[in-house]
Amino acid sequence: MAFFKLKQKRGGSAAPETGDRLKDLHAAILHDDDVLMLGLLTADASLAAHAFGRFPLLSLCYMYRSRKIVRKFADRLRAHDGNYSVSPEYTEDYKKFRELAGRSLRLFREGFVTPADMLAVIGDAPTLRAELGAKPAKAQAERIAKIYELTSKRKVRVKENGVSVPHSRKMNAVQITAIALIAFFGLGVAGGALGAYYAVPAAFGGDGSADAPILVNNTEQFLFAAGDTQQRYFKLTSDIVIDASASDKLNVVSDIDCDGHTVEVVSDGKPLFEDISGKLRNGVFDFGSVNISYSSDSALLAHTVTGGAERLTLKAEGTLTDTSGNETVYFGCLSVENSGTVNYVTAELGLKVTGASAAGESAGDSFFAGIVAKNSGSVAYCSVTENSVVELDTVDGAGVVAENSANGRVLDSTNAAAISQISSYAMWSPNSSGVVLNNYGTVSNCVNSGDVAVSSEATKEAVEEEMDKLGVSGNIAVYAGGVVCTNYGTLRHSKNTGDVSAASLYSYIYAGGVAAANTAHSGGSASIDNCASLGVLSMSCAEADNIGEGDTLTVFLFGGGIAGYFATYESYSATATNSYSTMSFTHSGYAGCFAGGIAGVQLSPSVPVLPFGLTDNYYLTGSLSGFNAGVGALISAWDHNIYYSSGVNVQGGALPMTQTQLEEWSYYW
Amino acid sequence: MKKDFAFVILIIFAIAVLLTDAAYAVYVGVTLSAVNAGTAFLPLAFRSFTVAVIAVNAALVPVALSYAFLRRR
Repeated sequence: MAFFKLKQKRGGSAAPETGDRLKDLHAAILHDDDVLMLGLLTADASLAAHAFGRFPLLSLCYMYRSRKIVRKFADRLRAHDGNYSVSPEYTEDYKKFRELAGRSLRLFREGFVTPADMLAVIGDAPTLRAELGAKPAKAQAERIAKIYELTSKRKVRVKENGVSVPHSRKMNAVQITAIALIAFFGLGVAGGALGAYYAVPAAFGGDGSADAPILVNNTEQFLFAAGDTQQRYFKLTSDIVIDASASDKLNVVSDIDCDGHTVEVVSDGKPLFEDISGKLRNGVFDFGSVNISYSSDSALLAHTVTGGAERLTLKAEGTLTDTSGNETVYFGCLSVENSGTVNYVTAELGLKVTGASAAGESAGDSFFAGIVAKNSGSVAYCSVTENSVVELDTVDGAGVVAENSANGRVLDSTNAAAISQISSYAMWSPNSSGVVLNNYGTVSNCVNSGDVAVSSEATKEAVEEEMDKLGVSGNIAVYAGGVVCTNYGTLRHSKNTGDVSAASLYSYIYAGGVAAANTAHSGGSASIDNCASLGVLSMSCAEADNIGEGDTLTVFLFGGGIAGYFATYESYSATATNSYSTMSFTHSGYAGCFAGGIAGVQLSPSVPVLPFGLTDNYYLTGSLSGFNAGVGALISAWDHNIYYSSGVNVQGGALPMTQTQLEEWSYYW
Repeated sequence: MKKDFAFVILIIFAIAVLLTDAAYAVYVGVTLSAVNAGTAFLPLAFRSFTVAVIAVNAALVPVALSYAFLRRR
């Protein structure tokens, strides 16, 4: 209000008249019209030293932020040392200044509002610093400091060489816009990334952790998962078809859950996977109809399992042909070797397996297994289904494992497949069984319910001719076992309910309900404990049957309800304890055919005639008749093979109890 | 004339975050394309990268607001 009074005192409240150059001058400043300003100053240079009331032109330019005029005419507008020609003030100038000056208005009762004053009022620190220069007068510096302090509430320090004007705290439009954009951008991207954090793994199946497995939707992704090297977790979401030729040497290091889906494999004759060191589980691998020739160790699914294979079903039918020549080869439907864990694997097989010797030429050994060929790890809860059929010739085989090494364990596994082996090669001793072919480790809680039929069609003439050609002597032999073919290790709590048959034209026969042979070896004793065998054991040998009067018997047949053949090795024993059999025996002839309810024959250098190591075994069917029981060293001479640990030999005596009683006595199966 | 260094630093930080976001966008695009094509799966670090991007962008907001607050105090 004081300023208004001052203005009134100076006279004139009316604005310049229309068309007046001063009016144009004011309008040029108000609208930042540099062209009009140039025209006015060109026409009358003295206008540069004009002031409207107390506002010199440059001060007004600062107040109205007439940047173009300031930029072009600032020097001309201040080049008059404060000597102004004055015309009346505009009311709007006063109002605007009053608004800007605020508490500092009282400082402008007298004199002009210099450009520096105006800059202090509007708080334009950078321009103010330039306006004041390096060394302003002390009085001016103090005035500026006071104005600044009153308008901006910020301390301005007065120094000998000028004033220290703080930066304006007011943000300009650019800064405000920039900050708003930055904040908006940051929030937007953070929100988007947060969405990606949840949505992307959800859409594509997690990050591969156990809780969030990566979803595998197609064949390409499955093969990629099988070759993944980061040990992640995958889950198959649909049935797929894999052309095995499209992949090579896949090492499964991750955990692949097939989630019950079927993987149909078009086999290229090589294992689908080289190694499973991670885990493969919960899937059906259907190989369909196969026709595979292999010359070295091979398998359908994996060459080796060093990790885990769990709850898998294998399906395959067709032919497998060993073309290895003199090499010893193994074929396992799941894997050649297992040193890890194979659990709950089921095989549905319809396979005919042909060995390299089938053509009648000498070749290396050949082994087949429905699940694992060579096991040094754990195989548990595996099975070969009832509708499976395995036909072998010069390939020895078993339903679950071919060779179980000393530290291998085959547990709780079953074979229900019909396994047959018919060898025609004169020098081949066919060996087959239901669950494990050769056991050096531990077989426990296993059951064979499939029929095992092994035969050799080699004639006497062919055998003798081939032996002469190869320069060897001896006999070939047929081995047929219900659970194990040859047991070198520990066989316990296992049962055979299938029929076991062994036949030949001219070869020895060893057949047993639980094992064909129980044989100690240089690595240790062999034991059969708590086992049982039911079903029928059949033996036939044409050479033995057709022996004539006065002929020398050259082949023998040995069949036992538990094992056909027991043999100790040095200090190592071959024992059978706490086992029973109800097998019935059939034979095609009489000569040379020896059968025992528990054992067919026991060979023991140190104890040649006693049933050494056979303790508490029971044959429950009754007396065996029609067999040659006249050889004293043979266990088969004892009809019942009952032998008590007390040392009292009750061979042929009354049965101590029935099968039911034995089963109720849970010590037995 | 003195510069507003705080604002300059803010802008530099914003540009750095922008570049990070651009790199992340490219990373996500390439990764998802590969996953769709069945030639790759989400890498283990996907979520870690995403969390880092979220953190950096989220940090931009308080930094910008702090600057504005300090200017107006």
